[in-house]
Amino acid sequence: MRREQREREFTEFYAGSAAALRRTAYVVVRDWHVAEDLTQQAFAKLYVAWPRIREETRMAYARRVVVNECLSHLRRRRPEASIDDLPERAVPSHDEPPDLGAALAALPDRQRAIVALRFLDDLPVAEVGRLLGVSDGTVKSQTSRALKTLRGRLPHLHLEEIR
Amino acid sequence: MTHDDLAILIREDVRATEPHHGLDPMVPVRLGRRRLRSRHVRLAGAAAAVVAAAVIAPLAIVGGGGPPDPAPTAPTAAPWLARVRAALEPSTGALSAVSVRREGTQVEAGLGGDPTGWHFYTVTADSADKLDDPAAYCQERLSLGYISCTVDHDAAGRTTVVQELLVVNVGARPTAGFGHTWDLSFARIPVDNLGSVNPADRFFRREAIAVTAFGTLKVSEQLQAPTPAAAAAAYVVPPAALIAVASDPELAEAH
Repeated sequence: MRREQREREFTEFYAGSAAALRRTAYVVVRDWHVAEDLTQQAFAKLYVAWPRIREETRMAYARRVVVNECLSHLRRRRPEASIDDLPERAVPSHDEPPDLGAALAALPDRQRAIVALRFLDDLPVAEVGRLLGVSDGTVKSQTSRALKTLRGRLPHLHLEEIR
Repeated sequence: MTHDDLAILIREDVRATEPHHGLDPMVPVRLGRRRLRSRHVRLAGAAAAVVAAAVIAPLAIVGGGGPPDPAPTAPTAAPWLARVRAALEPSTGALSAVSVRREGTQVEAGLGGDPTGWHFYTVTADSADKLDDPAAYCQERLSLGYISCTVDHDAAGRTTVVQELLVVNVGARPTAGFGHTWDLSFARIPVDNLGSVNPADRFFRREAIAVTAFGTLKVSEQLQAPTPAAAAAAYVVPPAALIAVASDPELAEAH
């Protein structure tokens, strides 16, 4: 593939997908600057692999690379306080806006990635499983655990297993 | 709130905090270009290593009489590489893929400008190689099936051997670690056996070996071609320029 063609196609794809993938990365890492950096790194890898990626799988490929970059980044950043080490929070009143950030931060990294893919990107269980390289059952059980944690942190949300 | 409300909450959180500035596509493009260049450098480095392994051993057998000289000191490669590039690039144009390898008494630069990696150049300085009898060396090379081997003496009394040989790639395979790159291993084939080699698998190498005060300096160009005539037409560096580079006293001293 000629460089001009590669860069034209790549730039067009980037224009249509980079912002959405940065949002996914943000939900996983909870920091916009880091999310942007990881998204750009992921797109650099995508640029190198571009001739080998079929057009119909580009978005899935890009999403997988971004999520992997995020999870790798979070692994490198360890050691960090585990969920058990997080301080107890007072139950917020109904007048207080829900602290979604703190609730998401309480999730293990992979569960947060699953939440991002399922609830932000609205991907079905099977697609999330393919992206993360885990079974459908794992996605469902991790989703269930994530919702349980979020219920504890956001008690005014009556989260139910409806799918 | 319901299950779907979590999706709404996440999206509202994202929307409320998302930076307004857009993302610059040139950032990953530049990073990606750099990664591709690094990959080409690795390719040239692999080629240079194999070329050296294939050619230096016969040189040592024929040219080496006594014990090897001490290994050259270990100066930084950058000035030498700069001289190598300055000597070659007037003939070759810009060479983007560059590697330097030191092993024993040899220092070798591998350079390439061809995106396929199949057309490349090497410059090897070997302080243990003497090439005491160039005429006998050429006689030996020709008996091994080299296409040509001649001895050149210039007005300053410098001696250079110019030789050409047929080689085939014996180790090409895609490597998962680097993606689409190759493990380059070449074996010499007597030119009389040219007909037994698939035309697409034929590679030709032309090189000049100069005797220097420090040992030998060898400059080679290798490319893919179906016949010696096609190779001769495709070589970028003329024999005289190969000799000039190999005989460059500054290049011999700089390594």
